[in-house]
Amino acid sequence: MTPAADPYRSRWKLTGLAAAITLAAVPHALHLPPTFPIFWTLVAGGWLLALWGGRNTVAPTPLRVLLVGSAWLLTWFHFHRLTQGAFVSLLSLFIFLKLLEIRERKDVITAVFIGYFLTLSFFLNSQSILSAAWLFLSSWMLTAVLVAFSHPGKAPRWDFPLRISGRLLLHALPVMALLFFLFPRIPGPLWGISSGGAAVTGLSESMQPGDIRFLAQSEEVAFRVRFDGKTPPRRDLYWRGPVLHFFDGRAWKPGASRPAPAPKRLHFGPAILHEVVLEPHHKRRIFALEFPHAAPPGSRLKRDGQLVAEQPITTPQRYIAASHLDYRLGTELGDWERQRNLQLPFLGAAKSREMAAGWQAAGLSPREIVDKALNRYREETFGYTLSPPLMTLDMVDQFLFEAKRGFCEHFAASFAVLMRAAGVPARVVTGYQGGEINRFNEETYLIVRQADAHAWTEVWLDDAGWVRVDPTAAVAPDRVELGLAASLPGEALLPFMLKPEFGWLKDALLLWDGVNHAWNQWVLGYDWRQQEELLSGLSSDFFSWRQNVTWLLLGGLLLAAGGLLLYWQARERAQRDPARRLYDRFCARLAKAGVERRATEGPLDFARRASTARPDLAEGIDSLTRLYIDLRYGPAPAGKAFDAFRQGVIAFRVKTKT
Amino acid sequence: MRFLIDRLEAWMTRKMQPVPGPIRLGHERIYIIPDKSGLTFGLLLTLMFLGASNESLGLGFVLTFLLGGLAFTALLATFRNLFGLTILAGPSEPVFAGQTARIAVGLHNQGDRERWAVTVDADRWSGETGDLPPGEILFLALTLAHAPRGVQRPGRFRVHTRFPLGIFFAWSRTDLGLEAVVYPRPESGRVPDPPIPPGRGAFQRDGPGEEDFRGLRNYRPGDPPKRIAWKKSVGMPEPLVKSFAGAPGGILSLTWEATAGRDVEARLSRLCRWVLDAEKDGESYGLTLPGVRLPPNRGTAHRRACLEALARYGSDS
Repeated sequence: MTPAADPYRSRWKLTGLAAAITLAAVPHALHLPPTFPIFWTLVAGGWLLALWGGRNTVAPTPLRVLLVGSAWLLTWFHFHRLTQGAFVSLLSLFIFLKLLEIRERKDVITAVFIGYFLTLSFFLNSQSILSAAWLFLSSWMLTAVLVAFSHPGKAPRWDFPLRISGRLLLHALPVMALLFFLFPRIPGPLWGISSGGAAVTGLSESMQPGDIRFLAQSEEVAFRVRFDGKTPPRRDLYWRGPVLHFFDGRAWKPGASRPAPAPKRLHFGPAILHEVVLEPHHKRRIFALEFPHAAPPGSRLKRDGQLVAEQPITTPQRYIAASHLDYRLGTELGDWERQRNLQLPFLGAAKSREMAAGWQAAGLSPREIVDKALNRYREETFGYTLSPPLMTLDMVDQFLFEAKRGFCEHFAASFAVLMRAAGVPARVVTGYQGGEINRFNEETYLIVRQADAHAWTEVWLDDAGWVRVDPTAAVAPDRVELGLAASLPGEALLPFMLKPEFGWLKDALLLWDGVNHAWNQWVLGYDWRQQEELLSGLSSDFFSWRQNVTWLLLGGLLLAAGGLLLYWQARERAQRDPARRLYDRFCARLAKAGVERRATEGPLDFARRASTARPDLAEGIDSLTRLYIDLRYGPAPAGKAFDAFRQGVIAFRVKTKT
Repeated sequence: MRFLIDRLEAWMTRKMQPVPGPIRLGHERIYIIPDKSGLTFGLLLTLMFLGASNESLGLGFVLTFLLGGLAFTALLATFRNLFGLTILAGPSEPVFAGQTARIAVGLHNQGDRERWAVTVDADRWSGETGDLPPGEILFLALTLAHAPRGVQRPGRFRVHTRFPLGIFFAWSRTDLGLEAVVYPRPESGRVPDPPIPPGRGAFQRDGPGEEDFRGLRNYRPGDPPKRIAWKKSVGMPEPLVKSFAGAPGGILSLTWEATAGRDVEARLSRLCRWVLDAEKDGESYGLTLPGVRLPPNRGTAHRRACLEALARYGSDS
């Protein structure tokens, strides 16, 4: 099949293919170095030049081998390892190389299929609503290419493939919705742990000075929460993240761990049910309100109270947790655990240690030591700020005795050091505090951003277990009561969403956040667990819900098929011209009289035959047929003539022969 | 796989008899299966589903299920591209052996919807593809290149389409009893003349009646000498003879026996040449074949009848 002789092939159609492939590849350019788009442009450009220049578009084998080799090298230089991202990038290069191999129709089809797969692979990077819009655009173009290559010769209109493609996709939407909700999902991941894509800001496993302050400048959403009932007061909204035990003089780290039984937990008071929709951050930690009753399915509660999931969070996760604000964590502290939480570095913080040791020596009880330290923060007029003076060497001493101005990380770190030096086991807890309430679609939910990141401490009291002590609250209670923005009025470093200006713009952005929240919940967060929750109510006595759902799905598909066919038929019938419709009615009546119009019989021939068969109706048949011919084949139906015809058909009655 | 489908289809249509009339393609006549690219599409969807499941990509599922829905819609659309079409037999002009035989097949689109890229073809015959606007009849030709002599029948031919996506293949087999008549190729070069029937001597020709000069033709043994156009024959290898309309210039009897000594096709080939020459020269001629006897006559209809008899010789029709 030579290119010249193939009636399905045309230069415009092939150009359309190149355009569709480029559209599928373009968004990937956001995550790739410029060399990749340059490669695409060179290959596609060269190919188009050959196409429109009338030359052979199939590249010679040596050139193809050279290009494949350079594609591999390009990917290797950028990724160094065959990760997921590398594979996708390689695919984007290969799809353009596929253009150079197109000889027959099946090559075009292969290229389109790779295009669909390339579209899918972009969602590893982003699943925003914008990505969804691009999904439909890309599918539309790629499908249009398939339509174009199924029709030989010149297309009736330049947009013929696009219109057919668009209509097909539109009519495919109901089936898509049916499959999306009912098609049984399988729990992933299926092979290994997904290596994850781009890095995302968020809490790290350690706390260096400046870490939390860095996050305070990001308005990126960490997660959104919907409470069943009233949202608890902000001062109670603590969301636990990594717990840090080891202080090396500068940074706090989780430290070594040892297998030990989990601390006993006691919960008091009502349980607060809430649903969290967590944004992907490629780590395994998940968040719930302090303190959750149990770990949500697919995760576990660590000994120090932190929640970790089985798999890294690479896609929005939706889960429900029940928490109690009033709780007791731990009834006794083992020796190793005690030592671990009294650890202090060999050198550093000499003055602070001395002061704290003095409190212990003075015979103060642990509770009194806690109060003493907190009072010191208040009395010594410590300041809460995003821009503290530079504290380099001995951070704790500098902060407690000289600078006296810092962010929550300074307060938490220094407080923990004081406690440990005074013999009270203490640890630093990082996480989030508070959140922003947003109303969308008559629902209230809480937005917790990276800017709400916070650090506080927990101290061990023998009669109360691990108790939360937030030294920042002692100095800047507004932070905990009203949020970061309120506690730092006029702070320039705050992210846009937390600043008081531009209320109307922020309202619009909050509205958009609401949309995104619904998007995450229903489209992205709908995984196999959600499906099970939604559909498990469909189980019956003899069948599991999966079996019932399969039948439901099949039934739904049949219904969809029937519905689609009926819809198409009705739409076509509506397009038939009204004169023809009336004539059909007339013929149907004659058919009842025993004279059926043959498929290929014209109106005149039919009239003649019918008059012969039923002479009693001859007059009516004759006049109606004449009217019809005038209407149909003459100029546009005049109003009066059409009405006369219509009246005639309605009045035409077939008297059955006796 | 195509082999299995052909076998299955042959079994399902074993009772199909040729039907001359228009045939409407209804549910029972249309078959639809995924094409090879359709199977690849299914594989693609499976891979996409597994990929989306592995990474829990909500939009991945959206795309996969959208394409699944697309396949579903395309199945219905491809089926409907054929459904309701009426197939009729079209005209067929006879040709000579070695030329391209053509039979027209009419597709009548009675509905209100356009049909695109509908193809008609048959085993060993080439076909054509066309679009059908609503209410119109389109004639697509089945062609057989280098057609052998005889009555060529496409037999059960196919009407099929892959539109709109090329993923599904819908077809219907019909047997309208189509025939293309292929005359034997007339023998070329110098051919010996047909014999004059016995008893009809040269003198018989000189009968009364209108004698309008019609032209000149080559001399044949038995022509009366007075008809020879001497002046015109100067320099010619053979004498030229004046031929007259209305004159029984010769009643030729083209018989099977006259071509003895050669194989069947050669004999038919020579007879064909004789018929063509005789008609061109204005002679009356009769044709005698085993089982067929056409009395001497002249004219287009007679020529056609003779050629057809030659074409059909030996076939079962």
